[in-house]
Amino acid sequence: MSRLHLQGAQPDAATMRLYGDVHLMSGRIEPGIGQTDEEIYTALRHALVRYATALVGPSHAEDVVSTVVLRTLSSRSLATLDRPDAYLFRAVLNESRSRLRRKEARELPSEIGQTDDPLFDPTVLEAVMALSTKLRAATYLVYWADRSIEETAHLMGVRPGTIKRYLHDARKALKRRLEALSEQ
Amino acid sequence: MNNEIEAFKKAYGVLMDHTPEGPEFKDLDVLTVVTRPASRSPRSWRMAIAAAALAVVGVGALPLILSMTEPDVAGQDVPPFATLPGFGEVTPMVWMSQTPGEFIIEIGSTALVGSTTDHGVAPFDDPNHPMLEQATDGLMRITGASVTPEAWVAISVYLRDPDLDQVVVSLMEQDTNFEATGEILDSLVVNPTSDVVVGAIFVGEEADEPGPLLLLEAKDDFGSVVGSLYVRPLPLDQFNCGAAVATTSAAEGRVVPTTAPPEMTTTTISPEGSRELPTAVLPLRIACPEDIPRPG
Repeated sequence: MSRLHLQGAQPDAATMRLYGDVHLMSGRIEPGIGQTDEEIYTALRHALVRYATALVGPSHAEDVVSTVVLRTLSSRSLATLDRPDAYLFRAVLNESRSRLRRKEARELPSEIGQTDDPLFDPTVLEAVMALSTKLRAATYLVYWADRSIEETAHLMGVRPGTIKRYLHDARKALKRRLEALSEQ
Repeated sequence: MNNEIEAFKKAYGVLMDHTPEGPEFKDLDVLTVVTRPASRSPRSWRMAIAAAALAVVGVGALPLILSMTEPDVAGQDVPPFATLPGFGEVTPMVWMSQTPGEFIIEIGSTALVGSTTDHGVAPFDDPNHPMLEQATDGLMRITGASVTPEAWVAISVYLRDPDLDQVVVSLMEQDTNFEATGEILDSLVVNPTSDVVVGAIFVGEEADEPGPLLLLEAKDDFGSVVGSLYVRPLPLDQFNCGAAVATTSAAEGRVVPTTAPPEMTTTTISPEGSRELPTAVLPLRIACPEDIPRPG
């Protein structure tokens, strides 16, 4: 006999559906990405650091990327990966999430948000950075980096439908947060 | 909708204005050494933890056999052991705590804390328990107690990570060959808030009678299972503790056994019908208590 129960709540019946293999795109190397570890890293370096910046802020971005790349290189060559870009993007996301959980990367430097654009409201940046990591990852890749839904799904290791959901949730959450901030 | 999209673009535009260059390839390790603190990570408390005796004794014990990757080199993380669908990169590690029988399994960004005692049930349902505080980067905490015959194993799951969509905790029956039968004994969806689950598993009356598997499944927003992981108890005679300790990390209280590659497999489990999940079954090994160094 066994039992599981949730303190203070009724247990849900689990309804699980098969989730297909998320690694749908394989065997393709980005054109011109290079064949050696150094070439591959150099080709991806700026994109990875920008991505990490969107996730953990500029102060921690380089450390996240270097940690991820070094960790990867300690066990395999980037050149052996079918999609080193997707691999490293996912690793950056995971490392960023891990750090944010440990509260290693919460604060943005004070100079962030100071811009000459009189129409830019710094609370917008604050609201964006307050979103969960995965929502920021999706919105960064789609809205800023102009990745397609499918490409973003692959870079994040999820289904395209999930990306659409993330984008919807992110827009909704941002709108709610901005409305709350404007009422303060 | 356009207003929000424009807001995102502006926010990221500001951030990108402050994006650093990123280290050149030749400077990667230099940057890591320079920017990381000496303690390397908030997990440094684990470095000070004595590898206490894991008192997995008695008939009907539930020994969790845990394995790890290569020994940690000071200042560097243990490389990923595997990539599990849904869980991402996985670095299973085990830490022995000062409290007798407590351990932590860390799998990527998921930390499972377990405890075993040599008798009785060790309830772990207090959300303010110090072990919870110490593993704040963990997603879940699971405790179990090895028990005497007819006793119970307490399992509690404490989920903290708001980014995780759902985790399903299930108990799956094992047959006498310690193979999963596919029958789900019980199952519960745990939401990514501060849910605490307290439950119990009847382990069994005989040393060779298997207890259930602990099956963990990560789910996305749509309720689709995106990854699963078994924690598999093995029979006591397979509790190969002697070969499990590595010398380089023993002083730090870590257990680093020789590793076996994870089994990446699809497992058919079928409470209601045929269903396959991409699943990694990690062979996990743990050191014997006498091999584990204690604090000086």
